[in-house]
Amino acid sequence: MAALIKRRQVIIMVFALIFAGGTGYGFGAGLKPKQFLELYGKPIIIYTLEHFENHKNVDEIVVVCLESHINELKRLIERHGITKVSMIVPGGKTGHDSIFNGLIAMKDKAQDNDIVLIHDGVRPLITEKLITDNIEAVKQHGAAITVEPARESVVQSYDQVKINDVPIRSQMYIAKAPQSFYFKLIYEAYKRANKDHRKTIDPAHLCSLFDIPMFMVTSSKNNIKISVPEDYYMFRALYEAIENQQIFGI
Amino acid sequence: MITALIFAGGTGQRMNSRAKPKQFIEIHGKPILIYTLEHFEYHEEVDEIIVVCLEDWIDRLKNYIHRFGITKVVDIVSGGATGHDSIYNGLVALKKRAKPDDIVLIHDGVRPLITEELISENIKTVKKYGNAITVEPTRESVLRSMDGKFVSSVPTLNQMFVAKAPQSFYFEEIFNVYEQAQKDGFKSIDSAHLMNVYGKTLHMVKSTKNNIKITEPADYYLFRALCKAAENQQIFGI
Repeated sequence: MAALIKRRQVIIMVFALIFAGGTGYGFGAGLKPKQFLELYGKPIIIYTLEHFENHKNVDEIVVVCLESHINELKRLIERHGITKVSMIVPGGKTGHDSIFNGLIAMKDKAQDNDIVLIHDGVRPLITEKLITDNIEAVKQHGAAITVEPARESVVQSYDQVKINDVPIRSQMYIAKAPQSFYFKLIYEAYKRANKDHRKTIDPAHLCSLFDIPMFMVTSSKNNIKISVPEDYYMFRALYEAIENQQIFGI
Repeated sequence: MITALIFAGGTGQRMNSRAKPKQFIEIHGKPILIYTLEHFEYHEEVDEIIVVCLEDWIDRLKNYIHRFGITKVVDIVSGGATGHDSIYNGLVALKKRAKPDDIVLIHDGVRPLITEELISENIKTVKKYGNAITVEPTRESVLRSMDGKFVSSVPTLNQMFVAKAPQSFYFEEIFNVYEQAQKDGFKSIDSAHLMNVYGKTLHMVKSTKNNIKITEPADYYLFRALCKAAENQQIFGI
């Protein structure tokens, strides 16, 4: 037992915290939440979970899910043979609240120096390498944000009518996921935001409010977020292209 | 007069298409550039089209234009070393035909999914405000990094937009700025960037959906998927 405790202290656990709390308003009322939409009979959330399930350095998965869909998710996880999901937590009102709910639920099992990869359930096209790169970057820098260089100019407008600034494109990046941290660092940041009644768009936005240094990890290609109907077509097209590559080496 | 200036000078280095520049890659037997040109061809307010093209491909482009029944192309100009130079070449060619208060819509040959509505909005906005930059709200956080390693700032999301095309101007204003940049030896990423550098106030037009730029292989698959979806809509009303 003593040996076991000692071992636990040395080994860093890696958690994936998957946000699947969205309601899918972007797809029109009456439809399934987008993370449950299926491609070839498999829900998008399962495609996403499989990447973490199959990654040897990821130990546990915590999913934050729409409360009304927790039972369905449990069924799907079992049917698709996902074994690493240790907890399913009900989502909050916003994405910010949902991530905080997930972190609170993890509090009992996660040590300060454990690593948590925060990912969107509707980003099913990540890769093993991207997960590995995130873990390595956290070990070196404490906080890692997956990014893509901006491929089109980004402009800033204060009034949504006139353009106030066109920053140099080579300095601009689009934040993707995973966004990854030492558990203590990100948990404390969300706690602090909660105390200050601040809500954020994503963990990168949160860390920027508190001046936490964030290292950028270059995303693998096609790391799309499925949030409007066109994205579903895009996912299908990319998935097919990736499968064709196996044979044609496109 | 309203002219569309279409930039088709890129070489497709990122596309794996070997010999073929991306604007000439075909989908269902029609080159991407032709899909783009058709939108301007069929828009009743657009009078003329000028295409800036890779020099080696000008003959083939003429061929395609003829074969696909595009009638508004009045000039085809050779591209320059960069996108900036290519647009400048196009404007110089346009100088011979355009009056100062003519309107020019600068567009990418590899953005085939624009709409009649977007072209109309561009024209309307130029008339109202003097210029029009097509934008889309960003759906993911935008980050700025000064060193390419660490995040320097995360600007407020609802203030950030992605610049698309068309980018549209009164001829005189855009021509003068490019002339000035030429004298100053300054090269820009796109016209919006250039105008901003020279202190011009720019106005935004919201892009219609799916106004993608085809620069990487994944974009080609996306375009094909969106074409298919759009065709299915005719029947299923998706």
